[in-house]
Amino acid sequence: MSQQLKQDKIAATEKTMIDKRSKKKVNKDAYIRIFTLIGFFIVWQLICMYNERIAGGVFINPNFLPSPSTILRKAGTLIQNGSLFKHIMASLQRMVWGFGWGLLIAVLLGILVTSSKLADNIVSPILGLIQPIPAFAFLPLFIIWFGVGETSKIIMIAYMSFGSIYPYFVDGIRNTNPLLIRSALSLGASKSQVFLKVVLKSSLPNLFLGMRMGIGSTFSALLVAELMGANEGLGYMINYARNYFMIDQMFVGAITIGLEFTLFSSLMDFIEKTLFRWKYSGADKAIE
Amino acid sequence: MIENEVAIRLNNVYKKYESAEQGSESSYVLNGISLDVNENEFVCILGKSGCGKSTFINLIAGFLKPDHGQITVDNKENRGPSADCGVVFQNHALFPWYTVEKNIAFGLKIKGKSKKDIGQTIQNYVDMIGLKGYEKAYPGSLSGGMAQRVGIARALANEPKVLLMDEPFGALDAITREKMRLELINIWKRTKTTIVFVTHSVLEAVYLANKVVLFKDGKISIEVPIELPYPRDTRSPEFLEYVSMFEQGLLDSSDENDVKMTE
Repeated sequence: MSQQLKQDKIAATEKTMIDKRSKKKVNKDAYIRIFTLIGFFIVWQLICMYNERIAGGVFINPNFLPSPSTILRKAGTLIQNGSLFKHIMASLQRMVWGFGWGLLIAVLLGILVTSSKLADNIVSPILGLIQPIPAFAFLPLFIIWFGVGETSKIIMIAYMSFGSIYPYFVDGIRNTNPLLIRSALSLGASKSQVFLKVVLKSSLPNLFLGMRMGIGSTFSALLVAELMGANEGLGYMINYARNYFMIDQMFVGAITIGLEFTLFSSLMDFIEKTLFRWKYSGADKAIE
Repeated sequence: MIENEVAIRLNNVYKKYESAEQGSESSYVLNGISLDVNENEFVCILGKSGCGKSTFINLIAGFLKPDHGQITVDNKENRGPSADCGVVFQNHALFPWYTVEKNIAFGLKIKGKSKKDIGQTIQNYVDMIGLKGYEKAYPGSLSGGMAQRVGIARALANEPKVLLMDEPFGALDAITREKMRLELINIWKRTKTTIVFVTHSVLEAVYLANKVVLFKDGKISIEVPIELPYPRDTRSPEFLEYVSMFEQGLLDSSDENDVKMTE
């Protein structure tokens, strides 16, 4: 009995030691990563300072490459006068509408195409015809059709996100394990119940994969649409800054977009982790 | 209780291979099968791989339709898959996005049972399969044996008239398999369900069934009741006599080498 207890104790201490060791490893990795990021900005700042103050701008015109501190100062002004917030909101609004429409149409069309062979035969060839054409080729067309206002931008964004989401979703539906459909049927599920409880559920991870891709294309579409013509939004802000040679403001715009993208990605991560806990319950324990 | 009520009746059933050419005699995976399974009977279908065992199960379950002949389950012909025929699949086929308890509750929810009833049933079956504490676990985190037990519980909780089992213990290790066989006999005695159990293991068939049906080349070659009391002693001479009879039956075909006699 005491022998057993002793063994348990040894096993427990060994386990905590392993835990500590792996924690230390993670911490070390995190430190290196943070240090790299901070170092990147410090080096950037130092190069700019050396170039400007000591070398007198012989390497590069300081106006072309503003230092991080200049960019931060510019961001401060833009935040204070409220214009950065205004541009962020304008872009966000377009994105949400465009992405929302793209998602809605992709889901509805995906369900239609996978549940009716006729719909598949009608829709798929047309999509196959349009798909190889880079989406941006349609932007000038959209502008002529729908004007330079919000409509053409939102349609552009919706079209791009649809193009990313739709194939993943359809693929997810089509790859539902037939064994699961059989097992639902033998438990008394009707056709519609099979669709809702098995087919849709099993295609959800794929839909989210598509949405993740869709966010990427949404950002590109947003930027291009706003660069082509707008009077507010982050793309416009960058374009405006270019016209007046405000390089620091261009950096502020680009960095804001990057931050926004990271924010959206993390949000997707969070939703996926909570929604698909069943997917990760096994994978977590695959290796230590 | 009437012992001889027929639960499943197959009358001269033919089923072609999906890729078979027209008209050739050997292209039938099931070649004129007639079989009655009585209520409360435990029938084992024994045969080599590719002898039509799984097709047989899929036909009774209603996933496939026979090319000729009739299949009636509970006096109903030509039905699609329904809750009358519970199926336990070889690889558990649990819904990965549902927890253990939600998997067991799946059929009950569809039947519109009350929350209280469902909770009670879940508790009963979780106790029965010895997975207390795992109610909220997802199938992905369970071992093969645990998941298979949930698969059996899910089918049983639905109280099907007939329980079809397609090599349910094939993917399990020897010790777990042993336990599951004992457990299955207990469940069968308690629930009085009619069971059709497909296996390629002679030992397993003789150990479990009160009737063993040997399939060969899409036909029934032996159909014998096993008249031994449960639990069966696998070393008793009577048991071994049955085993050697079925092994002989399997070996009679031309290719003697790849017959799996035991596990």
